[in-house]
Amino acid sequence: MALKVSKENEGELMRYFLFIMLIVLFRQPLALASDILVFRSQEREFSVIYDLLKRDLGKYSIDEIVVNSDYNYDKMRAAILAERPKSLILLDNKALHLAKQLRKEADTYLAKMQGVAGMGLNLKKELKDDPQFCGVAYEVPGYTLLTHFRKIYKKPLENVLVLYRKSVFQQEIEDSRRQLSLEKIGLIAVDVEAMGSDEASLIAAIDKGLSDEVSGKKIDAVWVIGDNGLINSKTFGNLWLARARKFSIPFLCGLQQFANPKLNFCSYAASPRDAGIVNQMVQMTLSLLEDHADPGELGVDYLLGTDRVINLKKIQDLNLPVATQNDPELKTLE
Amino acid sequence: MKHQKICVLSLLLLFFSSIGLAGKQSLGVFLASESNPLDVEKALKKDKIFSQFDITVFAQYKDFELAVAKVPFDIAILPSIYFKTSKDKAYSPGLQFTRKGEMHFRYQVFSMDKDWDIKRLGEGSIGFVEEIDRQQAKVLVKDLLDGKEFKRIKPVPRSQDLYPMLALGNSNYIMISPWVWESVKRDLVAEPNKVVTTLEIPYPQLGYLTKKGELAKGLKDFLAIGKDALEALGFDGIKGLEGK
Repeated sequence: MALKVSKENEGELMRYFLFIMLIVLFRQPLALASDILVFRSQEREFSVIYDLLKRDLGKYSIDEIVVNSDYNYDKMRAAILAERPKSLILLDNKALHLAKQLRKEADTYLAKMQGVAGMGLNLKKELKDDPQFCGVAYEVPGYTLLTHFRKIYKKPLENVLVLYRKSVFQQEIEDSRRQLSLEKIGLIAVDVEAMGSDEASLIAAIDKGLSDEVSGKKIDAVWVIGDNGLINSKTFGNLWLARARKFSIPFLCGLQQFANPKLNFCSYAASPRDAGIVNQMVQMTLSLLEDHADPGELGVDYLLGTDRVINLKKIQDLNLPVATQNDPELKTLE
Repeated sequence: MKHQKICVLSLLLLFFSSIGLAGKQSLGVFLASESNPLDVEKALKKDKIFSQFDITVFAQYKDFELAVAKVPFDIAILPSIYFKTSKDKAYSPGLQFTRKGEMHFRYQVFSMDKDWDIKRLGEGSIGFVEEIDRQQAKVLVKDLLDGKEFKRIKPVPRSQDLYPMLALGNSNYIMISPWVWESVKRDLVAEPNKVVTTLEIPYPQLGYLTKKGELAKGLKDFLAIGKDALEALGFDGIKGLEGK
């Protein structure tokens, strides 16, 4: 049945039509616009972090873009221009590296884009003096690892050995040394690049440096930094694992997998707690959006919250005295 | 006849729910302390006063806020500043928890570096445990320090994260309650600098859902909370607020 429209109603219908078209046109960019745009890796742990960010930044509109292996700068640029966010959250180093390219743009909006980075490696170095991006370091600080372990360890923790690459972790080691000295924990830090940074020199330096006695000082524990320049297929079994089995002191690390009893490498591990790192990123984002803070001044904060595990098998193998009840949040791996 | 029965039952349900007798009443607890929420919950459930309550203890302000937004608790135990500053005044305070007979306490402000002294508050950042909304927290910190402002506030959700914030240099100062400080310093070798103490603030309070005003009448029952439940909450006494 054909709809008959009188001449009188035709004008009115046209006005309705134009009105609806205007709504549709203006609604389109509004539907796409986000206050905060999150660029994240596709792995499940990043998706969990995004869900928590969305929950905790609930009063803002927030959207996510998954950064796959083929994701590139042009795609990021187009996504930002489409959504015109006020701030970015960059999860993982790739997202951060792409976002850093925005500053070369002639468009002021893109060039001055700011945001918060997280879940990336070595952000303290990546974002040193960066004026537009602040962040939260993903590595568990030596201070946190060692002071938490000391709560449950019933032997003195006065000399702790750490092997590190100065080219990558200089600032963390300097900060850790200062922070731990206030707690009367001495950090004996060995730069394995001192004799050269080629593979053979590094292996030789790890072999020499990984000891339970340094310059006449008995080592109470070894802090293992999760750096693939130090721990890799060439060094793990022969050096790290072999020494952890040979020495009667605990190896402590920031990766829970290393404290798995099946591997039986580290006695204790503290790893980043999702809700903790999310809260730190949320607070930084709110500082940018609500307090109009300068990202360069916010800098990169150390990670605060950790999940802690103890490898009971290793503890028993080494006959180490621990009081697990001193840390109610500690989980035991058997 | 069938319709009449349904009407009568509906009216009865409405009546009982309005006076709070339909099902258990609920109690929500959020206190910025280092206590394990499950331990607190267990201790409260053992107390005869709370035995008829559905109890939920929260470790973080944010979790409490999210829960309340869905289904508000009839009764809540919260930091006193929550009752004072929450936007919608959803809860009204009724009873005051005490320690050693005292109704009030003062936060302490610490720095790690002696250069961050009282003269430099305006240049520095301050960490504290999140107990209220971020914007209100800014005002509160200023009020508690008699008008002194910090350049930046840095709330943390858990009291366990507060001291590390200072030790790691994420903030220049922290504002810490005496009970969290007592717990922190047990494991501490370092000696941070005490910069200033704040003005007085009441200890946490027990309150009721404002829109269920009739609940206020039953608050006096909570004056009989047992010693163990009080201890689990971190107090040794409870008394009525003036005029309640």
